[in-house]
Amino acid sequence: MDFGLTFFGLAYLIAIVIPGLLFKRFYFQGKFSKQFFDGLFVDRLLTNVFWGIVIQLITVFSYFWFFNIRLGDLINDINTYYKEFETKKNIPLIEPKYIAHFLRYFGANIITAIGLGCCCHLFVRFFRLDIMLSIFRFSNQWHYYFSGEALRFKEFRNRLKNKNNKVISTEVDVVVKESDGITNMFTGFLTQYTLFKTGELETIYITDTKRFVKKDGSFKSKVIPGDCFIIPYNNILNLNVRYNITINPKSTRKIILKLLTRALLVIALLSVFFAIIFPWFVAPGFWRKLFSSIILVSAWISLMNIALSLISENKNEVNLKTPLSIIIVAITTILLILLGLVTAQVLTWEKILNSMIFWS
Amino acid sequence: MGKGILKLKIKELATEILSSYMETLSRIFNSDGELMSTEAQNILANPDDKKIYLEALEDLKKRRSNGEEMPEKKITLSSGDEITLTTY
Repeated sequence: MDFGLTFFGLAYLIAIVIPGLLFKRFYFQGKFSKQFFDGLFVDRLLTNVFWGIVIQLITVFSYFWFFNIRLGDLINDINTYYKEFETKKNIPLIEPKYIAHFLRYFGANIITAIGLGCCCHLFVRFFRLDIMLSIFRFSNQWHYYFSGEALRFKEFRNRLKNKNNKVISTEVDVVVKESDGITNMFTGFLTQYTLFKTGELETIYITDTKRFVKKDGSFKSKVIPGDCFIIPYNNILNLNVRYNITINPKSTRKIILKLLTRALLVIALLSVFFAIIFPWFVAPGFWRKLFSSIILVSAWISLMNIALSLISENKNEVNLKTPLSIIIVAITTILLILLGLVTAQVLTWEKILNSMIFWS
Repeated sequence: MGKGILKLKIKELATEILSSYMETLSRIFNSDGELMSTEAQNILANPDDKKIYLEALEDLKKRRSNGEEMPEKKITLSSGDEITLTTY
């Protein structure tokens, strides 16, 4: 009985809780990582179990489809195993193919959980679903208010969206209470902040800091020499946030560029799955599948490098600044795609050379 | 002399390509963005641009405290780029 409980407890932990935990760990990442620890234990356990089941279903269906396993065959195998155990009263020997399947399935399960968590996070953030729909909003409200993303909330009447504007920096005026009871006011650019494990604000970091001092009956600002001014939140009495915005007038070129960016992002999200999955269907042998997949993902990153440089609205955000560097990266991308396809044995160098001769 | 210049050019190109890959990776995996945009970071890194930018912000702040709603100010950076600023 004890053995049964321990075995099923362990199986439940491995099969349901761990994939759910991994999914959430990679979904709540970056500025929103503290949400992973947020909430009641029961709440967290239930959501872990829910996502664990979702991941198990995705892995089971894709694994069965990929390795061409029929559910009937699996049930037959289990029944045979059980009957042998029942009639011969001993545990039958496990075949190596079952261990191989178990290890492969376990790996696929972990990869699915991590991949799905990352992709869901990127999808929500890329398409601003968390800003448009409150159901997707992360619990770290500080990020939305400090980065200016809150200006796109309905509550702020969509002022940024209507004017095609962009927050480029955030200034804060902070009233700080000193240990001797005196209050001081500081102002500067907000560059970073840290949170406690509970999600509460711990410290803020400001640069180009000025302190307001009373002189001749009026307040005057005095520059504080230093690179970064750190203020613990428990000393802050109140905080005023001011957004500095650049106005980008709408033009046909910019609208086309924006549509192009959105289309590219959709293609990019889909093509990365192609780069990862395609070799596993066509390449012979595990190592060829793996290397081909790695090479094609590298080609995808290279392609994204060119695409991000070409569609960038701001000159300063362009990665590749010279035509020569774009040409070199484009050639590298083509070579990586060809290398990936040759590794997967979809193409051969001979075929590529022959077609090049034909076209020339 | 010629070889030296060529070497320098190749080194510059290699650095540009390498940093472009690093930037691409950081943009793909850091979709949350920074509190300060690259544009503002570049402005603040250049002493001349920083002076113009801070003066413009000070002016906008004054106009806003005088009751003007979303005042605008156009500034020209040392690169020749013009940007229109406002505050909210």
